[in-house]
Amino acid sequence: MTVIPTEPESPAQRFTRRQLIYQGAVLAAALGVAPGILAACGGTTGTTAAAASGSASPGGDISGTISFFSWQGYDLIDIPAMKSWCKENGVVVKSTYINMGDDITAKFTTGGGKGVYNLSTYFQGYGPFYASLNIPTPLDLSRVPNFKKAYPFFQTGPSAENWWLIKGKQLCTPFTWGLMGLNYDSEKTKAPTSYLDLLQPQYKNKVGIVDDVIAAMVIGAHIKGIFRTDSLYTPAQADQILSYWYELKKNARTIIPSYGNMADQFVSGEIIVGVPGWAAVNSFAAGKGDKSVMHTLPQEGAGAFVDGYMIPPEASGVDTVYAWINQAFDPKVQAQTAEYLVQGAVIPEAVPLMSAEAQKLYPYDQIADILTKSAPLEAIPFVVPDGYANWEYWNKAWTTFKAS
Amino acid sequence: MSAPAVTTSASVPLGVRRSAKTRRRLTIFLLLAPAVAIVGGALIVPALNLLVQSFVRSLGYGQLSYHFTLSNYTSALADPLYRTLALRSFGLGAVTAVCCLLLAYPVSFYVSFRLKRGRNLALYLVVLSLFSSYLVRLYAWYTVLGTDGMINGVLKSLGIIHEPLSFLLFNRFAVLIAFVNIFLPFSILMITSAMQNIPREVLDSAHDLGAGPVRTFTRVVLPLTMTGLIGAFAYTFILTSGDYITPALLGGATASTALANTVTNEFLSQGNPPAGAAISFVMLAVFFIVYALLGQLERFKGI
Amino acid sequence: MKRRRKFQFPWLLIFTVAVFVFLFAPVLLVVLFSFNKTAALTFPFHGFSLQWYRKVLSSPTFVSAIFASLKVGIVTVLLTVTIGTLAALGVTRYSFPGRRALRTLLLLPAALPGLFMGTALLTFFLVAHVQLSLFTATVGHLVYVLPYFFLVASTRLDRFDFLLEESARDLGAGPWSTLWRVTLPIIGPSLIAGALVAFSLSWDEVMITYFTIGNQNTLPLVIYSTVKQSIDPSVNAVSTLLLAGSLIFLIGARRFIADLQT
Repeated sequence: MTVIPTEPESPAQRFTRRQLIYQGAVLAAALGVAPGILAACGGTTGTTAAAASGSASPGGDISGTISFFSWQGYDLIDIPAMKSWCKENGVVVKSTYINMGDDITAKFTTGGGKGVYNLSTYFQGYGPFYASLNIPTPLDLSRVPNFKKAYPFFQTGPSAENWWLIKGKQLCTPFTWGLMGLNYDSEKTKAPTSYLDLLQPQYKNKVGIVDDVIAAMVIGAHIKGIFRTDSLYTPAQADQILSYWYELKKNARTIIPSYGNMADQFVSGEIIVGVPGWAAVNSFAAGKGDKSVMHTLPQEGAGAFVDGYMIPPEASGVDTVYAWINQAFDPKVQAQTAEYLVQGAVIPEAVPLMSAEAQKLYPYDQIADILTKSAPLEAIPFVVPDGYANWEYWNKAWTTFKAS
Repeated sequence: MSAPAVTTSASVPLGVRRSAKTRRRLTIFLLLAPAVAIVGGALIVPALNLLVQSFVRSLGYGQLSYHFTLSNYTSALADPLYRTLALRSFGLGAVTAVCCLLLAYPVSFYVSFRLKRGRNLALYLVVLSLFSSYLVRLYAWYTVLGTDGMINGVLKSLGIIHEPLSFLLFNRFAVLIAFVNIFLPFSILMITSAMQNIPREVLDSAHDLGAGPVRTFTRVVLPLTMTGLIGAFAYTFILTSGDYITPALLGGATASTALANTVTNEFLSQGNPPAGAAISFVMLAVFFIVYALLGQLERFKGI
Repeated sequence: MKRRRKFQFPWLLIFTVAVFVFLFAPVLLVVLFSFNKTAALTFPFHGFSLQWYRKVLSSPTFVSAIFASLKVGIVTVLLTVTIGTLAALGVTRYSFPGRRALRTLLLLPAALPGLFMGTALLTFFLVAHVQLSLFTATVGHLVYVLPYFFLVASTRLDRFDFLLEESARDLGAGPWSTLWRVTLPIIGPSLIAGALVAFSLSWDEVMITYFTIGNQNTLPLVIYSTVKQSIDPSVNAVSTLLLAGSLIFLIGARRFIADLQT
């Protein structure tokens, strides 16, 4: 930048110091700086009332802040029974939402989340891997008495020992479960009965594919008939599974970054079907005025999942967290949660509290069968024997798919 | 022309001169230390740390193997996925930068030389658009380009189309438009600033000497504003190539993954900082090469 | 001597207006839909309502994000102006070996993408066992914003006649007095313009913040995560509020920006 010589300023052009400060003050006031500075000095966030951070005082005071890091919806902030409990007890929930399950793993290892968040969840497939990375803080079940009312399937037995009660330590308390099929707009199409229906020309440029590699892997495996619960697929089989998705991409409008975003795409009419699907998307879309989004399980099969609350490493304010988790298993809260997320509850007493439609959605009398036989829970292939595709391979392959 | 103003007189006794010299050195040090500390501590040192990590192999989610390896770099350079993404990201960055220049140049020229009373207002408006939130401006393109969006709505109501145009959104085109919209104000400001340095008289002389508009442009205006052009191009190119947000939201099935997204993924989803670091440094290398090439263009500046 | 020009079709004017329309149309749409009666963000527009503004101002998420952005922004600007002005004085007032290199060094962060600085800082904080928080985010903002302010300040000081300082010193003023009463008032407008630039950069920053912040959210982060998840006109309402704030800001700062342009 060339510099042009200038004459020295004339007195008329100079600012006096007073003017300078005055102008600065005007600007500061315009910004409303005062509360900001006060807040910075005081160190409080100044949001909802009755938010006192810190651990429990001797009087059994459990008020505090929950720093939640997981899927949108799992923080229960829209569940009336939970909202009123939080208000009564001075509990504030601050949430950061994720887009992929891996975000949780990364956050509490290389993502700088240790000590920052004190509540999270994990999808059961991650259990053994998390244990090896020492991510979950082992839970003291005596502080979550409501969990004892859960279906036995979630408390003990081979499934529990596989996913949640690993090597004698309770790493998470499962609180919800569901099946992942596909979502569709009932006003614009009939419910597809097969994933292969989506390849038809009528859906050209109207399909949304969610960026969820786990669900894609499971659903793809079901479609190709090679599904395994240990998720051990050779690279050739992995490519076979992905071939469905490559085929589907030709009909795809967009790759959707999150399930919440899928609701937006339905509402704005960009897509008519979305896969992998999540029933909660129906609620998200309904919340925006579009009540026609539905979820269905095509004939090839669905991905099953169980999600549970876990306490991340180096968490603080743990008393508040335990009280909150315990409240999450209160039958009323469970019933409302199940209805909102359109997923299954884990507390039997919650089922009669649900609406009739919600009760029929999931076969509560056959949970064990469903989750072990017809829509079995699957592992995530983190550590695999030679010759099989491991997690890195899957992620690479999926990224290549997205970029193609 | 910056004249350092501190001088010492030869007639001052030696002892005083020496302490004046030390005081001067101390002053310089104190003035510069905080800024250097910030840049050193918050950029240089972390960058070096990242560089070291790029030569180490990750065993997954935080565990590092502490053996020197080039595998992160070889996979960053050799993997066809990264090459595709690199071409896509840098290509889009270059196209964006060029579009910004093409749009900004006439506007800057008009604002600098044709506008008199409206000039401050025009520049003020440009700065105002800079102050608008990046993300919000990005998201607004859904409303403009979407299936039920403004363009489709207008075309439909005019009867020009019956089915909404679907190629407007969720592809490279949408990402390009959003990028240009976001970075155009920068380009306008930078080029206008460069044009401010051309005295009006120079243009008038060229006109008087018989130069047509094209000649005036290529022989006078362009060389004198070359620095501004280069700055605008470099800034736009680097920021769009390294942007992971716009592609993810507007790119759709074909363009939602940029090279920058893979870096973000490695850190926040794959738990593989070394791999992310290697890709970052390869990107940096490309940027520096571009800087160097642009620096060569500076030879064409000046009269 | 002015020459009469024959009438020329105002191509440039039309082009410029078109470009300005292109620049502002999306923003105006955002403002428009912030008043939408329904939750849709696409046409048709359903009528006016203030419900989204009410929702935003009563939502703890948004309100705490606004405060977080303010906290980070104000601290960043205060530090930037202090450190940046001192540094600008250092490189313009004095001549010493390595001066040019130092100037380049201080401008370096402006040449790097936010992604790189964010990931570098994140990994560094982890290695140094520093927990992520608003503080770490502020560090990121500081190193990002400093070169821009430094550029403004040092450019202004390049044109500053240091003989004025010398005269003041000759007349008996001490170094601080000179700075406070002579130099700063003269370069004041540029410094304020630089401070405004610094604040606006920090206010809108998302790429570095994404990597370096703890469990809080700044306003851009809230918007980013909301857009990725699910969005309603609340975000439009927030942005309109932001725009209104910026307008007030800029109106007050108009005079300083003129100084910057000359």
